[in-house]
Amino acid sequence: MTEESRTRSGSGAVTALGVAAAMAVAFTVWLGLWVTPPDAFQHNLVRLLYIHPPIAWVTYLALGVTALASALYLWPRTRSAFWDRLAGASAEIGVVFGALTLITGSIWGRPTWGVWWTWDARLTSTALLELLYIGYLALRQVPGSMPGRGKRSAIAALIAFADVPVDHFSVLWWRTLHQAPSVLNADLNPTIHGSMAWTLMLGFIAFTLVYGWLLAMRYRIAAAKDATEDVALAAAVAERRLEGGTAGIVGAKA
Amino acid sequence: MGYVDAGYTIALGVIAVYGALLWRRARRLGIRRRSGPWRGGGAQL
Amino acid sequence: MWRDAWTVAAKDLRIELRSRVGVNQVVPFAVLVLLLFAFALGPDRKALASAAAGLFWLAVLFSAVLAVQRSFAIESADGARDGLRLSGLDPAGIFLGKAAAVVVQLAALEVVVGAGVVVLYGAHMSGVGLVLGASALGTVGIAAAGMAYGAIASGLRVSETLLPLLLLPVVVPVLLAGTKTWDAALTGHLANGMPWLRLLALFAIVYSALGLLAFGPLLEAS
Repeated sequence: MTEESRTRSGSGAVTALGVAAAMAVAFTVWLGLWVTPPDAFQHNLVRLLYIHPPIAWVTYLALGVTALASALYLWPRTRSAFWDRLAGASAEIGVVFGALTLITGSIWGRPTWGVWWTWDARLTSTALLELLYIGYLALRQVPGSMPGRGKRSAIAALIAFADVPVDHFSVLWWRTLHQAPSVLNADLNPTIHGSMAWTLMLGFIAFTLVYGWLLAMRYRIAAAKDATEDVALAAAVAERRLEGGTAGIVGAKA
Repeated sequence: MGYVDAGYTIALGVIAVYGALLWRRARRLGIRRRSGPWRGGGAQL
Repeated sequence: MWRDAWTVAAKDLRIELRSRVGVNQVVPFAVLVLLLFAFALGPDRKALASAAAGLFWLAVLFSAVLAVQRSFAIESADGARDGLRLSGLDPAGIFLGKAAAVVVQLAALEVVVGAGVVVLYGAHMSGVGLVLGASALGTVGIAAAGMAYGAIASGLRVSETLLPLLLLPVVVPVLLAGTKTWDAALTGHLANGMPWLRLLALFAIVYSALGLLAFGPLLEAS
């Protein structure tokens, strides 16, 4: 039974999650591009702000999950390959969404500020965060035997995570420039039309669902890879034994 | 509305492609796990 | 722990004294970087003097990557790493010792680079105390973070390329704070440097603590 369910891309719950995520994103796009009115100041550019903050939120969420999973992996009582795979899966999604955060922010910044990039605190610290976790992913890709690799990755993730606030505040002091995240507090802002706040809220939910689905997929790949490695190793060991002429094992297997 | 369209296209496009790649890889690994050489003929050893 | 740290630091420094890799390779590299910056920015002494603080710290950071790599390279030859692990020395002591050895080497390098900045770029040192404090705290922070990541990357086949990618984003606060403090010292607005000096101290403390905690498991892991 379990083998059968593995051949499909996901279990029922994951498929449902994927469908829900796709529908929520489609609904967000529909509301964002067609239903909501243009903003009084930003005109149509405000429409980018229905997807940019949710994508940024997923970036931080993903990296937070990586840190949490790494801590749980290091904690002896909760150590299991599950947390290691989850940390790696989440970090990869975080890096993808981090890149999208920078790209969508840049596309919004170009007409708003007149430049693609500005050395503003949040931009700069997000870029640094992205690089920190690209390094972490690079470290994870180095082959190694399991308990050591898992520990190494988890420690690296936590050290990188410890750097996030330090990086953030140092960059903040370095460049105290522009606007507070007014968009994030859209529902507190009386001038923002009600449908805009709802669209943004839906955007947060939609992209969080997308994150959940991607995480399930990425985790499944990691688990399947580990499993194939184990099976391949067992097969190789059996083959060597066969060469050694220990017929008993073959008999037992058959 | 060029900037807005570009932003939506890139963001949703990248997520869609990434999701599709993951989905395909997850499927393939799942299938291979059942009928790979170590499960199927080659793996009788 | 402290005695173990002393033993390891003395060992690393003795190796450096005998091999002279730092003196013959890393220090000239740092001076070369200073020259390259001048070529990149042009011979305008004013521009160079105003960028001097940042260029000093960049040269130090790049050299620190080399120093950390060297510090772990001497452990990887002839299975020295296993010897270290089997020696019964306290991992926290090993961390402190190796970090201290790197701090000493970087301090010597900073004297040369600092002199280079003054001579080549025409930087004007007005707050010597601030410069020394910032350099000392920043160096401890760089060495502590470097040891943690050096231990993570060491033993991997790709450690030479991986270490800079892992280490440099983490030490960005040192670059920022060090540059700001030096700027304050070079321009004479000493009060501007104080918050940054505190940030340098915080960074040094945080990464020393992380390194002390993580070094033992890391030494076992690889």
